[in-house]
Amino acid sequence: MASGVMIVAEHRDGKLRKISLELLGVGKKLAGELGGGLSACVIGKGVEGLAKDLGKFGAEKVFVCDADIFAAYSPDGFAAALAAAAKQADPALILMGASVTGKDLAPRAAAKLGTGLSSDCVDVKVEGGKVICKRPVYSGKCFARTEAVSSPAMVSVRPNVFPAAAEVNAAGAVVKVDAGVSSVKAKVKELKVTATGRPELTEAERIVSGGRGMKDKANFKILEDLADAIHAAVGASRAAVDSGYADVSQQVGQTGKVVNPTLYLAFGISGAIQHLAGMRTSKVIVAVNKDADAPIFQKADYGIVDDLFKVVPVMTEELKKMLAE
Amino acid sequence: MKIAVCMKQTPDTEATIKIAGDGKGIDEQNIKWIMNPYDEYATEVALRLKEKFGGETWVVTMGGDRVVESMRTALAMGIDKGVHLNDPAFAGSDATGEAKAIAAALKSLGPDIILCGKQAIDWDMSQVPAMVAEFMDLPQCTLCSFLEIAADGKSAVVKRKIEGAEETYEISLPAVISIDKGSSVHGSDPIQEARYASLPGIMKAKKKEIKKMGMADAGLSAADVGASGAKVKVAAYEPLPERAAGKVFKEQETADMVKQVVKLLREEAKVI
Repeated sequence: MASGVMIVAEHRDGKLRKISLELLGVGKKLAGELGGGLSACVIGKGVEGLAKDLGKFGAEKVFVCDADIFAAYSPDGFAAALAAAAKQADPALILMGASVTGKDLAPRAAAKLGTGLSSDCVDVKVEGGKVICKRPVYSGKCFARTEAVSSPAMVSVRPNVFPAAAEVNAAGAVVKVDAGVSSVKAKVKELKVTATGRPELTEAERIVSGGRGMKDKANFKILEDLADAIHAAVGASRAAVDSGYADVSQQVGQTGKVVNPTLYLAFGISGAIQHLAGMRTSKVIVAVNKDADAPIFQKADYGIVDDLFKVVPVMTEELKKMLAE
Repeated sequence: MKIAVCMKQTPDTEATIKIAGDGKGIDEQNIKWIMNPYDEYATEVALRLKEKFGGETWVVTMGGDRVVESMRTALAMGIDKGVHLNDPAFAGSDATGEAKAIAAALKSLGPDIILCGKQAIDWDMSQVPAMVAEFMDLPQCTLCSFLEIAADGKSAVVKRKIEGAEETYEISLPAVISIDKGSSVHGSDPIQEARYASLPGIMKAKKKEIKKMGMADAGLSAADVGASGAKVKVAAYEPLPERAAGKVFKEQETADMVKQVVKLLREEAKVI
């Protein structure tokens, strides 16, 4: 009889990614509501060591699919491993992160398991024994509440929305899973790291973002300086990306990255609905724009109607002073 | 080369979305329906591949009668033929049901490459391409930003961006590939726009073949598709909470305004 929650851990360079801890946090809450234990599944090569960390953050059992064939990510290979782990764990609910990898893997795994997927959810709870999820739809114009009907329920959650699990004084019991995968159809042949040394947008607590008002790629330097002063990530609106001022990987919006920082500083961004869909859950929004009628001022907590090229250097200095106090 | 594009018709992003009275659906009146913009880019990529390799292109779409208009747009852009998955039994399908029906249509075509947009701008879920790939037992690469098909048409190099890195895959064809705006195809500059349908294209499109495929033709049953086959049900739609109006500073000295905001960020918002 299916019970409990199994989370699918994400890792890179031998460490758990932040989303894994968020999954354990919400997983524990849901395991309590559904009944049954909290387990984790980890897939890769040389990943058995991660079981200890997963146990430290609440996984009672860790299903480990450790094999040479999983050294590089493969959507179909990892889906098969996930299915094998799920067969042993027999959870009522499988939780994954809606990271870029999660968006690639979760639907394939759901199809493989013959179950449905509620993806990129910002709220998950149990009502009457059923898993109910909530997510923004239609460019963030409304929420949809969905109910997982099939078993196991499968849900992917938006990164940086759920708090990370607290550390517990426990070790997870390792269960080795033989996924029985001898070949895969697609796998990563080469991984090129492009990280900037700044926080990753979907995990960042602070974001400095530039729009069409930046006028030039070179001008983003002043935003980078501000970002570095406050340990922020640098984002951009779609207009800025389309104009070539920033890379598409920096695009914040409905069809770019959806972010959830504590502080979002928007410079020269008008506030199109698709941009808002990507950052409207930010705890505090500051907007700077020359145009007093820019829609973003209706969503910002603090706004400055002024030339951003005058504001940014002053703000950088003031924030540096404030942080040094 | 046989190239298939999976296309969805969605509301225009500028459309006002009203929640239906019973809260269980959206009010579909007065909505402007468009080809999902990401499927437009996928169509553009398909047309470029046809220009390079020759062959035949198909558009596959599921929905009621209103989706035919968007299919004709794809045909007007240059796509050769279409398959319209049309059956009252398909109504209310979730992503799984859609993927099953689309997979059945694609199986009947036997394409060498299946292109999809990276997400549909109504629900932004990006589920269907990967599910289609699993149902068809094919390699997948989703959210791609780079595509290059080998000269013999039997394999492709695809790249995708993940957090802080770029993955490169080499996959055999046929495969399911979902593609992002701004992708580079065969060394092109990032493709930012899909071509417009020309007037001659629009005229030709009226005569192009659109095959209809119902549930039975697709070899599916009510347990697979429609509301009856849904594995995820929409329980309700809810309005989003509005953010309260904030403090907007204007017509003061730049330095004064900045100092006030920074002070509020520390003392009122407590975020720095």
